[in-house]
Amino acid sequence: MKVLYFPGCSLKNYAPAYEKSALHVAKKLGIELIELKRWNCCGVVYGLASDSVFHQIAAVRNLIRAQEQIHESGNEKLVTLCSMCYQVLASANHRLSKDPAALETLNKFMDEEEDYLGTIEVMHFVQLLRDYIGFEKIKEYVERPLKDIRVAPYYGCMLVRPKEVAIDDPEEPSILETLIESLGGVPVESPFRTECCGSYNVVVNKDVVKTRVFRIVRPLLRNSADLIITVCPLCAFNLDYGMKLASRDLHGRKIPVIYFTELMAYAFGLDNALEKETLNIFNNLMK
Amino acid sequence: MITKISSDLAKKVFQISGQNVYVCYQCGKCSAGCPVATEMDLLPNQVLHLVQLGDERVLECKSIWICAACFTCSVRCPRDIDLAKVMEALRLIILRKGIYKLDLRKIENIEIYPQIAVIAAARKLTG
Repeated sequence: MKVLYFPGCSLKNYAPAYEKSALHVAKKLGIELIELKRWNCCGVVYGLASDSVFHQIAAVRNLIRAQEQIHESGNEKLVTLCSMCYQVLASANHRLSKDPAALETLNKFMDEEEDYLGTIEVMHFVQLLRDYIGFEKIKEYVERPLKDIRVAPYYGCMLVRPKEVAIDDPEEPSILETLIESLGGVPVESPFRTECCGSYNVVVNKDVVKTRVFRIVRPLLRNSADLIITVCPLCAFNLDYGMKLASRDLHGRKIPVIYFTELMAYAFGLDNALEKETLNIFNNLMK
Repeated sequence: MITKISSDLAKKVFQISGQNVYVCYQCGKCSAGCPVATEMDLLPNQVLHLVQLGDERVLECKSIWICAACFTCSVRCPRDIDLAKVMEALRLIILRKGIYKLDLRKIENIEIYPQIAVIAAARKLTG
């Protein structure tokens, strides 16, 4: 299966481990991720004003790039790894499907690009795995079952809200738990797994992130989680940084935060898909 | 259902967000579930109430800048108000005047943050 892939900025600098592990995992599963040519920043946060299309320009330009390249994949899917990219692209796509006037305005604004037809289907990688590979099938690729490793799923906001673009139930999602089980791991109860990590508040008001991460992580320590998996580079940063900020309240305890694709890569036996540090974490847990 | 949008502020909010704040009956579910309510000076339902009353002092509160648009309130509102959009409309009323809430040059230790955090903040706190 070939699918167009939108990496986004974070995957290319802050979170290369996310991309590397995902590309290896995809290859193992027979998915060829074709990186979009000439992609640009998605805009990071979806512009919510309905009287303006200004904040949709960046997203729509990417959707047009995908449209220009569908002959390479043979389908209209566009996959992301970063959940913020997913939400921005999917929300813009959703709005334009309901708002022909906005689509017309944006198409007029573009100069060299062809018109966007509104037919690209934006998906998150984990959604692609569920809907086009299936977790039963994923089990067959597991070479190193994560026996007894206790994994806490953390969804954050952007995969499960708002409803229009949610890939799972906004209140009780289960896609990551099912994935953990299919890899032979033990999903840890994670009561605040869909609560916001504090997002960009980290830049202007660190205390918000400190408070949030304390609340999210404390039950995971109680539930003896060995690892936290995330789908979002900003969640990953905030969880890790927030545990440092809340170190005193957490009695100096920390839980390693990794991307779900790193968990898959380890279970699939793809050591070269992992950073040395991550591999060491796994090797210690599997002892 | 009350559909008449009486206050000028509520009209502006409706213009920007498409949300009619008068359908809110002040159940407080948005505030009960808001993950950052503890950091706010006005709870989300109070923000909405001031908009209903047309009280422009709501534009001076901290809450609209603390809201990180996580959409928890939006998916839970029994009256289907997309409160994240109302918060954004209130921010935009200020930002569209050219009054910004972030100076990128003044972020301490900016190099420790991934760009996803800095750009997201810039998108929400500047015009």
